[in-house]
Amino acid sequence: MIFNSVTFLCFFISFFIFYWFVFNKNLKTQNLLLLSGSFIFYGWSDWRILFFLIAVIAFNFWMGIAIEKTKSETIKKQLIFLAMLQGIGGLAFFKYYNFFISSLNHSLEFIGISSNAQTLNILVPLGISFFTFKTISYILDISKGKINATTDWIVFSNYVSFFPSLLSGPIDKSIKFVPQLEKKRVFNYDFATDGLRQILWGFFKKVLIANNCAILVSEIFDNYSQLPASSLFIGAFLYAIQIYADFSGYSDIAIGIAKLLGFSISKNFDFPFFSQNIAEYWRKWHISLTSWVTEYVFIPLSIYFRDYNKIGLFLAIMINLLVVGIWHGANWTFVLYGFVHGLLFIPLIINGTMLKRKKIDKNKFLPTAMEFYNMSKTFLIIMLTMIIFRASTITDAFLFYNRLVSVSIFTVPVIDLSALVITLFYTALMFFIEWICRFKEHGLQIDSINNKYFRWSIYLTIIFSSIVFGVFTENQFIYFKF
Amino acid sequence: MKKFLKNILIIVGLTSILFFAFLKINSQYVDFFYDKFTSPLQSSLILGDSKGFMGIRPDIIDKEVKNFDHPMYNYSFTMGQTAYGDYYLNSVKRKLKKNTKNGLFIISVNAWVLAEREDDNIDKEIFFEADLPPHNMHFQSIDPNIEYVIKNFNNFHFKSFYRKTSRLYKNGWQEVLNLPKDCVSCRKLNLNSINKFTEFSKKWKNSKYRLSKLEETVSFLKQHGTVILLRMPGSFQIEQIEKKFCPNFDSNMSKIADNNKIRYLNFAGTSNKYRLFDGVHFDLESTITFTKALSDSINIINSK
Repeated sequence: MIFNSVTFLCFFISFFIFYWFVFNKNLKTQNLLLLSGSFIFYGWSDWRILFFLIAVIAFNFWMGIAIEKTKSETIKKQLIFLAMLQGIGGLAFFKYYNFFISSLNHSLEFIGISSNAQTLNILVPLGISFFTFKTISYILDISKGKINATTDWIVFSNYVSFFPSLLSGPIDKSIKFVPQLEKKRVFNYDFATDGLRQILWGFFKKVLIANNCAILVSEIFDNYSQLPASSLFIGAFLYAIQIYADFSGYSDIAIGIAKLLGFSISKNFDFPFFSQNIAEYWRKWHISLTSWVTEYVFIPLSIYFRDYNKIGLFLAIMINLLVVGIWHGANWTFVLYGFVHGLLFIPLIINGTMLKRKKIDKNKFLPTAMEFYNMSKTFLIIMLTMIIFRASTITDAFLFYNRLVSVSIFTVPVIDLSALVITLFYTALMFFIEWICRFKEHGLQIDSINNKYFRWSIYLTIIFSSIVFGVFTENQFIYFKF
Repeated sequence: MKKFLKNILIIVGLTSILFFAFLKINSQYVDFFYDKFTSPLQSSLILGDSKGFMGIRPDIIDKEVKNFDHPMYNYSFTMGQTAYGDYYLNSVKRKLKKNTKNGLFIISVNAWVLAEREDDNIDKEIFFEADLPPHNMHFQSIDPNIEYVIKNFNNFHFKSFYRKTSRLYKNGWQEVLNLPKDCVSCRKLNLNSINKFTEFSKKWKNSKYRLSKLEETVSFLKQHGTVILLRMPGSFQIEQIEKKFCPNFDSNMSKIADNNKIRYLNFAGTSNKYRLFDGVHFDLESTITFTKALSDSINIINSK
């Protein structure tokens, strides 16, 4: 089930009514309803994957309790190893097995050895990368004594399978989410209204911006060998916008839906295209993933490499970004994407400016010329590296770059101009609104506007623009495949 | 919670009002078919695919042909969604005024709307058109038509309201406003059509089921007035592909016409009199010329 579908709308309206009007008296039954809703949501497209999710939940639930209870350090280590084996092994098998095999075959062929290793036709469980990271963090936090294992299986199942964030995050940590499941939820008007605003903003970004960009981007990337560099440049620009609007739009909808159910889940994007350097960008992009990787990969690595000073720091960052890259999928393009971003940190490490936060003054409406230059430069770098992210193979990416760097960059681009104008207009509007709200939780947090009619006219304009100019056929969210 | 639900209802209400007001003003431009389901029930109909949808003007027939229940209404759709069968027949039954006795019904036919396509499995009663308008519509004459909006939202092309590339008139006729003006584009479109129909002729097959349903449609409409089977012209190449695909087409139509004592007007082979910008569809001028020629033929039939 996807958020921008009539099926989900019908599902959620009925779920909302049962959740707040029928099952609101008792926390346990409300949690049970939430779990049933999550399972229906997850199993809707293919019920078979539901069994895998249930097995993962059951395994990690008992593992959590066993790790906490055991007194023996050796057994504890073995249990943690088993839990990690399930998490990382499951991920490796479902997402990366075919990639390993085909890469192995290619490598062996390259050195003249024929290999008969077969790839498998595997049904990849949706959202596996997201819920696996949840279970891994849960187990690691228990093992470090940061949290206690929950003994309530309904609570734990809800933590792993909470439907708003099940398929594409945000990846919440149990320390923040589980207590919310254990406490009776009370409907809060302001909180729910803000959730609706965030959902609206997410839909605006998805159907109006991301889906419109997607049409133009597909045309350009599918025919890049016949198009001038100017069209390719526009394609790369629009792809960066598309992926941001698509994924941050999804996150906004997920967070908004969670708010309607009385939950506060992690912020996933903090207006990353206003970043002034690459380090700031990674602090603001897919925050729940980067903070997860920072906690469980980067910090242990930087401690391990601490004796190597700047080289150690660089190594930790590089491994960190390679993990982030490969997390996105089984393709060498994602590895290269992570590697390139790792390289982009070198100047910041050498200058010692990696952790310096260049905050733009809250009271200033416009950035300074330097701030604007830094933001544009960072955006341009991100935009160009996203070509690797979009390409099917590394060869394709380099062919795209090769064609991009040519004198045809100065020619008139071949593109549907009226579609481009609409897309650019709404993209500019999105950035304008997000710039104004850049210190808030999301782009449409406009509760500070006291005039109700003005506020409502903004909502109506957004809804109406989305209906009229939005694209409703490009339903799938990009991050579903990750 | 009360305040929250009340506000949601107000927003949904206001959005719906705004949306349907927009649709009221721009429906002719933002959807090819929406207005076919907001117009009243009709007594006289033109049926068929896009050739008839774009190529027969009801207003000219109304002006040129007398002695039938006016006005004429173009209830043709496109080949992508229309073929003769139970679905189209039921839709026609729903669109027709129940007490019609003196209607005029022009049924435009060609080999393609009588074919079994790759998405059809007639033995298992699987039909490609089942979920497409007009076949998925229960309410044919209601304004605003919420059913259409819900079931066929993806058909809307709202962006066209400022481009205005086509216009659906209140009588069901569609005028295409961005026809190619140069020969190069026309040649390209012509070639596309040839390729498309050649492909269809390889994948599709002649269907006895659809032929029998056409006859059922004829006999149903005959109870409500005069029925005419019409074959519109196509370019020489397109007609050749059609001939190869269904060599007995004309004799089949004549047989249905004879069985039901109606007339089959065959305009095949007359493409030199008209301008078919893509080898299939008329331009505006030829639409007028053809509709007038059709009206003359109908008048001759009526006078006999």
